[in-house]
Amino acid sequence: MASHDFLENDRERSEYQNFTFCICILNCFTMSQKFFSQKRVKLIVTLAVCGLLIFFNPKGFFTPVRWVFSRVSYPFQKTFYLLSGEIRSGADFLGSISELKNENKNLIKENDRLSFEITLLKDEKNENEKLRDQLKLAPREKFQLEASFVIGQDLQRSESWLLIDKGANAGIKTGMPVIVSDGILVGKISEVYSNTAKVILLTDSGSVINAVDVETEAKGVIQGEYGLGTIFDLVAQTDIINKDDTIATSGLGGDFPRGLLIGKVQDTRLTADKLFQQAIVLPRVKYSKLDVVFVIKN
Amino acid sequence: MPKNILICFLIFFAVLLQVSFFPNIVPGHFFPDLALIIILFWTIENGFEETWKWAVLAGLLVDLANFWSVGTNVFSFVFTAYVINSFAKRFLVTQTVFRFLILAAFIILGTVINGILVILAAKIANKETLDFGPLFFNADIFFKIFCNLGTFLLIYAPLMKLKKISRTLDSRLKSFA
Repeated sequence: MASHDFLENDRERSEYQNFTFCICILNCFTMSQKFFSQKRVKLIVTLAVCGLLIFFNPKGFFTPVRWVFSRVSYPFQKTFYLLSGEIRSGADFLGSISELKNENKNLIKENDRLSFEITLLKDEKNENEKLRDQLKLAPREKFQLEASFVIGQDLQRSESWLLIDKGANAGIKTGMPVIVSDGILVGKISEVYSNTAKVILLTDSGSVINAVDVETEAKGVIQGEYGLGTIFDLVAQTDIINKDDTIATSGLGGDFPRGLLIGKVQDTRLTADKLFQQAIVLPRVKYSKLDVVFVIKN
Repeated sequence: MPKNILICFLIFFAVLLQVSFFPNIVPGHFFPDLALIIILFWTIENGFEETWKWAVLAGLLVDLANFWSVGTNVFSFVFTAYVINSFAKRFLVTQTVFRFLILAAFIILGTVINGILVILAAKIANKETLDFGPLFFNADIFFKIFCNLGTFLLIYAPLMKLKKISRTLDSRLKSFA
């Protein structure tokens, strides 16, 4: 026997059903009101909007916001970076004897210069007259360089970048190579703002550059490994790569001039599919210690 | 209003310090998440209702300054603030003796949650395959905990001072009204 059989006619029965339905709706409403408190609504809405932004990742959409942010933050970032550089220098100074430090600094500079010269000389020796003429474009004095300070960095994540204090106002454009000392490649410009620019480092996971083994002429590409280092990849099985070989830009593709030093081969191996050879390349510079870099504008 | 401006400036400079100051002086790239620490502290002290807008602002500024996909840090900051607020309500109300230690424990918890969420969100944004192993057994998060905890110890007193200043500003405004 149903619970509402005591009701005498259809009209009463229907009214009873409507009443119970209303009670149910009211209960649900009260429960949902408890669950959807103002705090939870704020949380859910914010997370949903962020979730959509993350998933669809509209990179260009926020470019104007980044422009404004870079304009506002630029003077502060520069001040903070220079200040922290001073603090670091002070700490270094206290940690070592000043003469030794200066001597070491000069020796590192000299070493970098000599390494680059050796790279060029070895390359010149292996190339014919025509290629040597091309190589003459590589020396630093032939480049139109824009010196700039590093004002921000993030080297630990998959995107390894530096922020420099020169941007569109100084003629910087996307894709321009960035070097230090006497032609040691650091990365390339990836985003340009009015007074600042983002430099994607060689160690960035998205960085791919045509390169050559200066000693053996083996050609391949230098790829970043999530901020950890660089890999000389896609080298044909027939080519030779040796430990301590010097890797430089090959100039193929026209994005980078030929002969910019990248680093030294640390170890070699075959790819997982055994079609190509790979080599772990140790970069010539410590990116975390960079203060001044040069953008090649021509 | 003056209190809001004060917090805005605080968050803005915390983000800039995070990007342009700490990376240059802290060895090993494990620099502290100053903005996160401030947001967590503020959440514990004032509750999620009052802090969520600052969590959104801080996340947005971190995303812009670090060239992350916009939304990544907003998502992690807001969610972390919500979780920490829920725990803070349960554990911190009756505690006065071990208050500082509990705050430090919340900073650790917040760092872990934020670290995991940021990696997860970045992987989704970059359309990378999700591998949950490195999320939970990540050396970076482990070092971040020490870094953030150390920074929290250093800035605890100034933050308490700031809290008092903001309360004074509030009471003065109320007296004017």
